Amino acid sequence: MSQTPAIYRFRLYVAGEGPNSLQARANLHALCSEHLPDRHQIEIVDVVREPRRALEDNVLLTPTLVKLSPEPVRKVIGNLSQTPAILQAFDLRPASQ
Amino acid sequence: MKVATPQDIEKRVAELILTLFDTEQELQALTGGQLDAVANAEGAPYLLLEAQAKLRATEAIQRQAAETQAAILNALPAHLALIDPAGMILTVNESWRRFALANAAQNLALGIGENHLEMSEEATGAYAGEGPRATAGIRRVLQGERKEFILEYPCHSNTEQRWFRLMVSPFGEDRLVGAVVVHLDITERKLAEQALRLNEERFRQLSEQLAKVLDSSLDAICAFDGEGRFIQVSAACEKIWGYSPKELMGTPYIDKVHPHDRAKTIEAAVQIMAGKPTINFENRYVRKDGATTYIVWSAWWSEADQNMFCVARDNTERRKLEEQFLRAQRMESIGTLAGGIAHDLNNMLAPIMMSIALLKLQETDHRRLDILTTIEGSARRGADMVKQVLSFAQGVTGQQLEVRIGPLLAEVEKIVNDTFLKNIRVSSDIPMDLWTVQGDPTQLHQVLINLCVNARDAMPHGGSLRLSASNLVLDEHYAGMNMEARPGPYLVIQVEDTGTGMPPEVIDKIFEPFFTTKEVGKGTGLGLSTTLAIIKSHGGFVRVYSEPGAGTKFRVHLPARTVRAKGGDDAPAKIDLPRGNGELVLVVDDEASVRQITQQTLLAFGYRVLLASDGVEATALYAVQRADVSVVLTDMMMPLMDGPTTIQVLMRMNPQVRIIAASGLNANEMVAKAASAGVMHFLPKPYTAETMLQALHMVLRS
Repeated sequence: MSQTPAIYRFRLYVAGEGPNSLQARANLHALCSEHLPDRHQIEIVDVVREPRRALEDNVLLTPTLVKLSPEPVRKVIGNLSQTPAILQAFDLRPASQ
Repeated sequence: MKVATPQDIEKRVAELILTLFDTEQELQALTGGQLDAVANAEGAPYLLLEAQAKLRATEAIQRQAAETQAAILNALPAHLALIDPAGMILTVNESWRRFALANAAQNLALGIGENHLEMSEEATGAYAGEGPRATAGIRRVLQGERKEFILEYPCHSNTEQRWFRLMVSPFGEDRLVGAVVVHLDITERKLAEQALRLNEERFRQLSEQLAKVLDSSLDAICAFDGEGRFIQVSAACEKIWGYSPKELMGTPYIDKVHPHDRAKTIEAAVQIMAGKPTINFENRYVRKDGATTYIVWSAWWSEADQNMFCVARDNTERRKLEEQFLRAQRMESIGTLAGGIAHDLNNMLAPIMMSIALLKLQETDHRRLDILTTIEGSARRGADMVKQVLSFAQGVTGQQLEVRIGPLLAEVEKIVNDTFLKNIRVSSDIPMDLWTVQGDPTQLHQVLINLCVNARDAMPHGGSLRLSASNLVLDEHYAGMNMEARPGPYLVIQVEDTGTGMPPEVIDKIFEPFFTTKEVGKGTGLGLSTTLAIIKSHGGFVRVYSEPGAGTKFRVHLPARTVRAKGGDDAPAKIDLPRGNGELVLVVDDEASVRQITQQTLLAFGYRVLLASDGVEATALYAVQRADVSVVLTDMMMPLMDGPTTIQVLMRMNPQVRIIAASGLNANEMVAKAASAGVMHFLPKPYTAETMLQALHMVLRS
């Protein structure tokens, strides 16, 4: 297959160093390096520092992960500890594939 | 409108809190308990209670950790600062702060908010050169070009020397947020290094100097391994052996030892390796050019290195000199004795010559007169030849013969007896069963004569000289106390006088060359050192016992062979002479032959004669017949009462007494005494009939 694998763009909304926020960041990094090595971009938005962004993006709950691309845009709320569910939500298969 | 009472408000607040709590519970339930915050209408986040509590706990932990970290950093002796990428100092630890404070004068008061890079760059003073290097290094770390930068630099104050080690490492996990700058005081280490370098340098210099000293030493300095191979040689070795150091290294020294000396060399080496260092071992070596050299060694064995260290001196020149000394000394002693021997021989020739004169007087037969003239000429020539032979002393190098000391001593005794003044009584004790010694009879003869001459000189007013010899076996005990002695059989020769003796400080020096107690011109100061050299070359040693006023005893110990020595030995006038007229002449001489021929001559020429064999007899005769005696002819050297004493006695009896003093050689002192006593006429011995008759004639006519 000559088709270039899609780049996954994520935006994670966190609330400072709140316990679930920290966990979400760690989990996202782990997930990306395992399943999407070299084809992911992560933007962290701290709603404590940038409350306007949360409002604009209509993110009411933190932590929230938004998959911006590839389409469709999806949102996952929580600390991202349930990896299989998340992979499924983002149309990803386990790395073994 | 109903006014809210405080109770109402309180109630309402309680309800709202409950609602808030319920709302949070519900939100968590909906999201699986994974929420931290919710956004309000303005988007500002509202932290849920649970997250708040967690955060507070985390903060407390972090605060405590930060405090602990600060405490740790402050406790570090290193000066530590955190700088931002621009070089601005963000924070410093306590050590940094203290140092900066203490060294404000040195432009090092780097505080928070100042730029470390600028400060370093602007550093001035003796070590400003390090500033740009430090700055460049820090900058490279800050720019991510280096993971680490280390620089050791001096930072001396007016009062002390200091060094620091600058360590810069990047700070920040994902991205660089600055650098940790550490200055560690390494003065102690630097000083230790400096001291070590200094020591090493000093050691190197010493080694070089030592090597130079060793190489410039005239003595060869070398070392041998346990097998006797050269493992270290100094430059002087080449001069001694003729082989270059390269040729010597690794070769066994024993190969170069003279074959005759190998056995004793090995024996000496065994002793040295057993822990008995030697300081004066001599053996011979065969040089590369085939010449034989004498080498004197001092050597010791190092158990730690398993090496033998040696200092060797070429003794060949000294040996040659010693030989010359021996010869010179022999010449000297022979010279001393020559006069005496001449006296002795002339005592024999004088009667012969006077007899011829007497015979010619009574002979008219021409043929017989011719024969007598021939005899007279021969006797005269004989006398001349004896003189020549005696005046010639020949040096002989040391021989190795079996020497019987008994006959040698007897010979010495005879010479001494015959040549020394009669006021020295000589006796000897020579047992028949003496062991023999190995050596040079001429040299041993020289030794004994030498000791006897010294004994004589120690007895200016006479005394007795005793020669003796004995066998002696030295045991381990004796050898242990005496370095020069070895256990075994020795032959001891003793020369004992009753002379002036010596104080201990003189005894200490008597064997030194050129040391003499005799007046200038009388002794060379070589006699005893020659004696000692000879004795040492025979493997022997000398012991001296002396006290001022109590005489001196020399005991010469020579290694002996215990085989019993067998018995058995081997040793040159006219007519028409003045005549007397019946005058009575008193002739005093201890030599019977001299008395006899003198009497015959005097009788033949018209004198009457009275004979006395010594001073005592002479004075006794003169006391009885002094009116009748016209002239006294007296010898100067006699036992019992010598010439000058006799003359003094005679003069007291008769101040007008006419005296002719007959003096041989070696009697200058006696002549001087006689002259001071008033004697006018001297007759040198040996005298011919003519000289005697003319002397008598002159005395009688005066």
